[in-house]
Amino acid sequence: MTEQDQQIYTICGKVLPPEEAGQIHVLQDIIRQLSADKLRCQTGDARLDLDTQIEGDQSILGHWLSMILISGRRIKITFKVHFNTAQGQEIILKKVPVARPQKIEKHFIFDRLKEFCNLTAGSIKECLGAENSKTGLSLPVITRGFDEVIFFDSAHKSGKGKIRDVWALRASDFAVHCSSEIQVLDWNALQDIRFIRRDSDQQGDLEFL
Amino acid sequence: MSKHGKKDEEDINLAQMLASVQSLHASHEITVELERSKYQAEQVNDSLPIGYVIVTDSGRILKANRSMARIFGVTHEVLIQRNLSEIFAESEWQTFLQKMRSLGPHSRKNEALEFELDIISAEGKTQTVQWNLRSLGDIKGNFHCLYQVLCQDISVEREHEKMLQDMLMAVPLGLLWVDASGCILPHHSRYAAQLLQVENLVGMQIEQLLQDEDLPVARGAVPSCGVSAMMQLFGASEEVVRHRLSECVHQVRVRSAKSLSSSLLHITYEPSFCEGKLCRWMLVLSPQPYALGAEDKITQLTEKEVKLVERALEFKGADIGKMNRSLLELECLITDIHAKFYHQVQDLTAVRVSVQKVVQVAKAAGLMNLTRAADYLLSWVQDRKVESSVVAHENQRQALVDLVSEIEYLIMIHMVVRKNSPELIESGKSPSDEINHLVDSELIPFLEQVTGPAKKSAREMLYRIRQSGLLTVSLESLSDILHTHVDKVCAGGSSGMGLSVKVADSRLSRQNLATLSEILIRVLDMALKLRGCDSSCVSGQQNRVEVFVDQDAQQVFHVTVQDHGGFLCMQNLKSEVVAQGLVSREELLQYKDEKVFQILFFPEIKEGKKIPFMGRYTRPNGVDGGERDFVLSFDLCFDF
Repeated sequence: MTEQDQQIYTICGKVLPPEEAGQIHVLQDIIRQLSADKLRCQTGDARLDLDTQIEGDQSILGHWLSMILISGRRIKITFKVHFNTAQGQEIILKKVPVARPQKIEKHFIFDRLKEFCNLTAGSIKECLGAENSKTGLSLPVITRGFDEVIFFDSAHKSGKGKIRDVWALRASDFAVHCSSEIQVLDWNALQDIRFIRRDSDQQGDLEFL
Repeated sequence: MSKHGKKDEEDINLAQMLASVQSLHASHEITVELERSKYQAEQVNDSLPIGYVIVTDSGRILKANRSMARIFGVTHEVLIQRNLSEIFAESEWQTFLQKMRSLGPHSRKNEALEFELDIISAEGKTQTVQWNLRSLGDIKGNFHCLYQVLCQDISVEREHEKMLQDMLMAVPLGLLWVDASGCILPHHSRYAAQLLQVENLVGMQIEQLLQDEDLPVARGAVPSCGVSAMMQLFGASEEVVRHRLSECVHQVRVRSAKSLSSSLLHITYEPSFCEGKLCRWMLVLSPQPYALGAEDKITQLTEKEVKLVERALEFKGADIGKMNRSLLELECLITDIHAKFYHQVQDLTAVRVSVQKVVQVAKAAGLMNLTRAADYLLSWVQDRKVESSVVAHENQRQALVDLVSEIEYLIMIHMVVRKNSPELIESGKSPSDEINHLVDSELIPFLEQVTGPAKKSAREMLYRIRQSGLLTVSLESLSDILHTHVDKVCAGGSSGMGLSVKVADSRLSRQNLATLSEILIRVLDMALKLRGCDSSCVSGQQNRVEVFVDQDAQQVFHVTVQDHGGFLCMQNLKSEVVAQGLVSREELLQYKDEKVFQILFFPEIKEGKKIPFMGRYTRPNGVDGGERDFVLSFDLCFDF
């Protein structure tokens, strides 16, 4: 493990053992890489950078919040995309140029960001190895960024130990924040995780439903 | 396990899987519905007409709606993570923080703070905002404490309140509101406090302040309904209250409890209803001059004005005596005006200017009575604070302005005649050239410049002058022209003296008059000198001086002075005669009143004697080859 890999993780105030911390770190890295790949695929922008240096402990990173839950008996992962309407418009414009960006309706933006969540979560699920077949995907949901405060509160009150990771995906003309929350109920679930990259992701193929 | 048993187990597993898929599908459906309903709820929140924001204890914005974003001048999506302090001045923000933190994370549920604090809008304007703060004790997220903040711009309401307050400070009516308990509510007019002689009326019982004596006024048969009776109507229906109001005599004598003497106030009751029941009275108080006989006084004034006009038309021939009497009557009118308009006229700028002119002219003409009266009026006008916000009775104000203009007009005519008399005795070099020069250089240019309603008369006069072939040819014609038309020009109309004519621009009319009267004096003077005039005097009539100027038995000029002295203040006349240096104080003690009058107005006139005014004139072109004397005689007899 590199120096960066030796990051200290805590759950409910308890520091994770190095082995488990390493597993979490790998999983977080996979999720970050997959999100970047999927957004590159959606926007066709190969120069999209992944920025993990997010200042402060900000929970509300955008007006809107798109999220999806990967849920199994041994592990639960929530993937979230924090964005504003203007950023959503930019993401759409990358693939579908429109003369007047203001004309892009919100539900179109929401659908695109939900799809981004869905694709990313599907890929994450594939990377879980044996757990892939034992986990399910929720529907992606759009809500307000402020609701993150509610989620924080809910997790805190229920005593659930979640490990949060925040990163930004920055292109030349827009940036969105993503976050993941991992709750491990059985550490054996992370035994055989591995990064799987689909060819279609690199080719940028995308099919909307 | 038998083959059958295995198949059953598979069937059961399959059924469970199908059930799970259906459950999952159902969960997904309800998730979509919940997402949609939450979106709609958030839309409602975003569209609230009041500002809504959730902030951390440092003021960082976590959620805001569109109304709040408008204050910042940005969209509500961009507002997140900005700080609420951006819209406050530093001192105001510290106050806000102090109030917000006073709630604290452990404040009681739903405990809220309400207060007003100014902000600086995106346009840089200061706005008064009403704030409502509540601690979100049960929601924290990552933060120490979150606060829900509601805000509403109340600048317009505050501006309206200020305007109402300004009006209440200025309005010349006593206005106050009384609630069901008989207490006077805040926001009464300043004049109400003055009328009731109490500095602060708020919270006082109206029945303690006003003790009505229920004086039936004008409509004596109608039962009166006083303050006490009106206060008993609280809670009554609108129909009942309206019925009682129609019965009520609004003019009652009211004794202020704080005053030793009773005063007569006029009270009007204006009811205010809540849910169909009387909940509040508005009382409109005004003092006696407005209340009693105001209409009668206006009627009387109108009659006086009519008489004045009729008289003015009579002395078209410059009857100074009649004019003097009218001026004295005007003095009385001014006193009436003072009483009548005191509480009703607010914007007195135009009146003040007119009265100042009256004073100047009256002093110049030596009209002491009018000077005193006008001075009095002027001091009153100047003492009044000119407030343009309320002009309660525009018609009355205009009547006052018109009346003052008419006074000025009378004085001007008076001056023309008075100045003319002493100068009649002057003679000297040949006046014909002077007249021609005067007419060419002053009268004609003046008449050419006359505009407005007087223009037509001026043009006609000009035409007649030119038709006469200059003065040296037909001075008699000129005299006729002047007598016929000069009044028309002065008054700006075509109906004789024009006192009843309302000119569009009274200042222009007065300016015309002032200029023309000077010219007129000189022209008439010269005309009289130029002509061979004889004069005679009619004696034997008391209080009257008549001067006739004749030529060849034809009367060409006629002056009458008449005054019985009843309206003159002799004390003022005596002061004036000393002030002018005509007599010393010691000499004054030896003089009778009539002597003083003579010294002041007609120094050369002796009582009961014919006083010849003599002079010489030179006939133009030497018609009979030389100079001739002319004689004016006065016979004066006053009755003091």
